Amino acid sequence: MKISIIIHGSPYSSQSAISALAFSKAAIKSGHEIYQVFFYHDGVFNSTSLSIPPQDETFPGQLWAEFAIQENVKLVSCISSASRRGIQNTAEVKRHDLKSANLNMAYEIAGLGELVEASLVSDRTITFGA
Amino acid sequence: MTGSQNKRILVVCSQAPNRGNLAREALDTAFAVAAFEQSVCIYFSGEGVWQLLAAQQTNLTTGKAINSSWKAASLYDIVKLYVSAEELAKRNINADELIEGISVINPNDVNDIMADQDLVLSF
Repeated sequence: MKISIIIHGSPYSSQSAISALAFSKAAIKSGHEIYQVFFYHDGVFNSTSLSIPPQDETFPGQLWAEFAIQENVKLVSCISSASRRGIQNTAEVKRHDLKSANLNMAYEIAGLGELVEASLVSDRTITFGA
Repeated sequence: MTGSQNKRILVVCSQAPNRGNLAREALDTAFAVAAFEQSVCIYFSGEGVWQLLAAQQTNLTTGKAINSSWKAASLYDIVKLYVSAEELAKRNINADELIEGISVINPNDVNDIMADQDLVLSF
């Protein structure tokens, strides 16, 4: 089964990202495919490259990045949610004449159209709420 | 985009209007999905029913009250906006206190509407 994931929760205020990752790993182990992970609302905070949690703490954003590279899964941070919250890629930095970008390289920034497209081609779309 | 594929999508809004920005971002999603020519309907549940009150003042966070944005749903061909009578009654809200164009339904209808969708997006 082709599955897409939506994450609404901020990494350190919500279980959303970690639960979604556990689900995704279990799904792949059971032979399913994770087509896309869409970070929306406070979920976009997972995609910053500037977090440095203590080494003995869980690091949801990085765990997702490692998972995505290993399993070749697309991670998308919603552009409207990310812009509001100060998560920018180089294109947005250029467009708005900002000083620096901070999007984790394992993620990309795109619009809600990506979510619609993923939902259309997926058999299931599952939201992990804030 | 995968072209002309048309799916029935229900957006469930259960956030109170001024509790963070999620109510606003749910609305953004609903309108964006509708703009991609999908059949979108909205169901207001739980504390989300407060979004529909007609007498809301300007929101300090977003600059505008969310009820006025929902009134624009028909511009995106979203004409089915539902709220459950039970959820309104629990909060002592009368249907005539809501913005126009909202269908008040009973709990059994909610099950039927949910069962009728290809996709449910929960907020």
